Amino acid sequence: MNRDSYLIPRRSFLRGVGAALALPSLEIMSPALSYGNSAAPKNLRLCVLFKGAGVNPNSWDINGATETEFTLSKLLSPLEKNKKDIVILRNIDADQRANGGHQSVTLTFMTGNVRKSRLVQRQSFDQVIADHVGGATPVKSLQLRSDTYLDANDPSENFLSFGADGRALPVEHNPEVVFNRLFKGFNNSGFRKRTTSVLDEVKESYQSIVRKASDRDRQVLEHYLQSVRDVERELDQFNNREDAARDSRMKRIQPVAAASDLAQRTRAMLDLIALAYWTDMTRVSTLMMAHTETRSTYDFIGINDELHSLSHFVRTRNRSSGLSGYDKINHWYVQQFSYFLEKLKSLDDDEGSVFDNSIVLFGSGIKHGDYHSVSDLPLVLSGGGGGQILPGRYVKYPNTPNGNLLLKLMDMMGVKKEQYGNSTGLLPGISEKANLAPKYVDDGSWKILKDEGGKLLVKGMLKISVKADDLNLYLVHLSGGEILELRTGFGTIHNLRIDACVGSVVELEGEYKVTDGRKVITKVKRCKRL
Amino acid sequence: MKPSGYMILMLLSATGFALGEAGIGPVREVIESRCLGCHDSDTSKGGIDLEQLLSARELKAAKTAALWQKVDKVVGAGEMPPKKKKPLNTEQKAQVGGWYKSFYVLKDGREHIGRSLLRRLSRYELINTLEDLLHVSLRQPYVYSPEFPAFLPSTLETILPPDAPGESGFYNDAEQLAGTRPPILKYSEAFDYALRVFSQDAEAREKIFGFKGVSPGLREAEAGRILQRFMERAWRGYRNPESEEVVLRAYRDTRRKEAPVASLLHAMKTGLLSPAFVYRIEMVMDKATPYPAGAHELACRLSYFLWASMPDAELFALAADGRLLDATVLAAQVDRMLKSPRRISLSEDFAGQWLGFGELWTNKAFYRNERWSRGIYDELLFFFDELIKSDRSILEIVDSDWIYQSDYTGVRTAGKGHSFAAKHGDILGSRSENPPGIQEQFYKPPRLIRIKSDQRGGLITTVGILRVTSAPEKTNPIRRGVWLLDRIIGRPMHAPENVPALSESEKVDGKKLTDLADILKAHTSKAVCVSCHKHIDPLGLGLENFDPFGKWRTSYRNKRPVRSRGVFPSGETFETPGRMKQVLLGEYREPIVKNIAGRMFAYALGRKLEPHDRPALRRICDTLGQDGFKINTLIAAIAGSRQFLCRQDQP
Repeated sequence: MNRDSYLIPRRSFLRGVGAALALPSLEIMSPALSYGNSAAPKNLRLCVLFKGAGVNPNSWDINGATETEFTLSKLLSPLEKNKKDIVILRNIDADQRANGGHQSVTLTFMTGNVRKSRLVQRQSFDQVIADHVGGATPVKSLQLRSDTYLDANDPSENFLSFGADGRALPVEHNPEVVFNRLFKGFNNSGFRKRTTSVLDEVKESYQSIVRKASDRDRQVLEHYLQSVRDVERELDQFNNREDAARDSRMKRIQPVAAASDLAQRTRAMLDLIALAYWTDMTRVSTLMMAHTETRSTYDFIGINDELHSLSHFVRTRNRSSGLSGYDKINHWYVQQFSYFLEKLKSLDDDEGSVFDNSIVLFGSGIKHGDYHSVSDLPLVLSGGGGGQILPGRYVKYPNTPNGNLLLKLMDMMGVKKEQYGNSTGLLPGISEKANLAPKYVDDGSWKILKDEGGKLLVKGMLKISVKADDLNLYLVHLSGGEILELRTGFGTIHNLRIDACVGSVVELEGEYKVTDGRKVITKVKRCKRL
Repeated sequence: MKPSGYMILMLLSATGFALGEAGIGPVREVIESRCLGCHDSDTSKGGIDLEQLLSARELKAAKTAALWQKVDKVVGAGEMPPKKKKPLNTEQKAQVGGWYKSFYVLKDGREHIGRSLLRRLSRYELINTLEDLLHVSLRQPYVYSPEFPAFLPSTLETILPPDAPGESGFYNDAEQLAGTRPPILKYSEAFDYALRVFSQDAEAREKIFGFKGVSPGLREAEAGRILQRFMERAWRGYRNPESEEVVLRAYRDTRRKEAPVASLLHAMKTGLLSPAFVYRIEMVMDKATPYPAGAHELACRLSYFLWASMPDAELFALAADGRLLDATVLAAQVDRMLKSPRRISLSEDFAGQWLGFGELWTNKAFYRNERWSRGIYDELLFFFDELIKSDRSILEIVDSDWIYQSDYTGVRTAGKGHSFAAKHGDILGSRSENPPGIQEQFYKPPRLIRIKSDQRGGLITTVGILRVTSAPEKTNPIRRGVWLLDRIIGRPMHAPENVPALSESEKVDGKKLTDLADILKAHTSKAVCVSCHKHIDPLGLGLENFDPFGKWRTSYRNKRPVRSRGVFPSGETFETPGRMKQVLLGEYREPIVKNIAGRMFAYALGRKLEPHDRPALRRICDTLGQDGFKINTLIAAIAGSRQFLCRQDQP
């Protein structure tokens, strides 16, 4: 790796000895002693990049494409150079009970379940994997966030990873702390040397104090020396377990400086994950790039409104940066995703690149930013998966629970499970071509089934209008090319989960008015996905 | 009966009670004739076997001593023999008490203070000390802001493991801290962090280095003086030339490769990692009897008692020339220190642990949302601080006609804005930098109000206390009763062993227990329950009108009415929490005062109280009673006790 590629201005990093002595936490040190006990596939890594607050479906969705022939949408366009590295997933649905709210969408994304209680959840899938492969690396898993927003009213939204006991795992937001944990611990021979010399000083100081202490005080002070000896013993164990490859890579890593805004922090976290994978410090990580209710603003790309309020774009369309701001932010996030993929590709692994041996999932827990629909989640899978991912594809599944995807990711990471969360089976079409026939074929039955003077029952393909200035317009496509407009209030769309049916053939019952000779549906009583 | 060796000593004792002719002899007679009927080895009523106690050889053994303490206590309080039996006469009582005192309280017939313990800094003290030593802020700002939500600990709290409370009930317990291995690596990481914050703060750097910027031309002698000054403060007056040399050499060694500032920082870290910083080492004269501690030692004891941190410049100056040893100067310093915002540690650390409200902040189970949690916590914090700031009676902890009220608790008591002294702004800013404006914008601290209420007043009926004494979704009168007995009255209760919980046991009187009041009633009809529950239940019931979130209620969710009627063991009845608190203050005043004084005494000494502390505690309580139970009188009396002022090097 190029030494200078590790970005970030270095000037604010204190180069004094004091700073150079930052120490790791014990959890980092102990598991390293049990090296090589795992039966996981060789060196595979998993990374979940969670970007909350959904998308504008019109800007995200790809239309009129086949599995291998597709044109990237506006929001996905930053992935142009990664087109051969990704699998775009459609119609993966979270548990419908989560529809419409915030509270569960982070959890459904990671556990395939709606939440159990405020504080106790199902073990998230990344942690199931970490339990399996984490013993092979010094750090079991990394839980990070680059978005500093935390929600006080619903703590469970603040976390992606939940341990086996159902409790949220602590999330680190300071890149410097992460850096110190990863690269300045006992795995670093330079660090070991410095620690040894500090301990020598401590011992000397201790001896001169103990000589003057009372008998009783000496007994207590003894613990201090004991503690020093414990550390020395651990140091010895590490000294005898050199990992030459890791050591040489460690030497090439430059310190990280304080990140002052979300952009810097996001880059720093992505870099840290990549470097942690490169040095095989950990194989599982999650990064909260945007909290689903985040109040963060993005002034570095000229957006000074909060992402969460922008995401409610139907209702806040008059906001200064409005829908375009929302799209810009999501576009920026996809750029970061692309940056991360490139970074992984630039790092050499034992065989191939780190990218080749990684699985990266990028996505959000909701689809429509305003309606919070949980069908057809925005998801992109990438990484070589050690040959288990067939990239360069766009897969439009029949509606499938996201548990099936999580089950597949666990399966690729070596965790064989029958069932997880809302899963109904292993998601096909990841390691091999999906070859799915289109689910909906216009068989001529898409038409108005009943029409009783203003009231109708209609069957057709539901689509959303692509006009940015007319955000609440849905369209029902009928056989023969006729299109009915659907214009109804926010409440109806929300309550009947109409947005979740976009892309499906629906049976819809409601009332219409005739405008300019065209029927416009204005009230909906029932909307059922077929 | 054979006289033991100890008794000879006792006969020689010059002070204390009249011991009678033969030490334990008369006591043995009293116990044999009046107690063994129930408490011999065969019967051992209530699990108490006094026959075995009388034959115990090692009288100083912890178990034996604890049982004698119990005997002394129940006999002294007239609780034993039980009511239906003939009470002991005055002489018999004096014999039991006198023997206990001469053997367990006194040493060679004299009062003493027990062996002084070496104290390691608790995490709370360590963080405070680093802040004061380095002139930097290392905590989360005390403000509400989405950026700093609940449960986000400061970096140092993330690095340093939390302490466990010791037998004294506090984190600063010397025995507990001595028994736990010091986390050297965590210390090292914490000092790195603190020094990094320090090095980035120009003002702080100037205070310690005496220069701004990098000073490339720093001469070695000058660096030495900087480090000497630093060590004097960091080691709080402890001198040890060899240890000092280790620090100076660390500077010289580093200086060969590094810049002056980096070398100073490294040497400072070496100084911080020395046991002289982590422990409060006192100069020892190796004497078996109490002798006055040195001035530096006293300055430290004061500052860690009242501020949970190191002495400030004024204390250091008074220690340097020994003036602090003068009683008048000492009293003036206590007074000054209690006027400083740093006194907040008494509320945060002492009261927070004693009353358990510190848990509101650390235990997620009590969490609702940021402002609510902070609001209920601050109501308690400010209340306790008000006691000190305005020097009010400790009995107001039980009941008062003023409270602090937060806007965020969902509970509103009618009352008029009030001010005993100044506002609490100084506390908000005491331990941290407070960005101006933010506090007002996001979070309004609780206000002091005068109330006329039968529902609120005192600390017991604050939302915070009612919350920590409840289960997540419902109230638990037993828990509340036990809490009051333990924390306020000073009678810790333990869950009974081998007694099935009533709700799970057989029907009582052929009736299935469904209602809470029925269960509590059953407690009083079953002999196995009644001895404890006659104390517990009325207290818990008296608070049933408060739901788990501290709100007033008159019926449960299932529409059954709340019955908060109760009868004290004495027969006094009450129907409102206000009345209950009055009865509490009437019937339990003495144990309440003794409990509060004892808790604070233990916190000040960093250890649990022992029998030999009894005379001192009684004097402290007497002083307190003569001065309207004012809390600052209590604090001053503790600071003036021999336990606090002296050292003793053997038990």
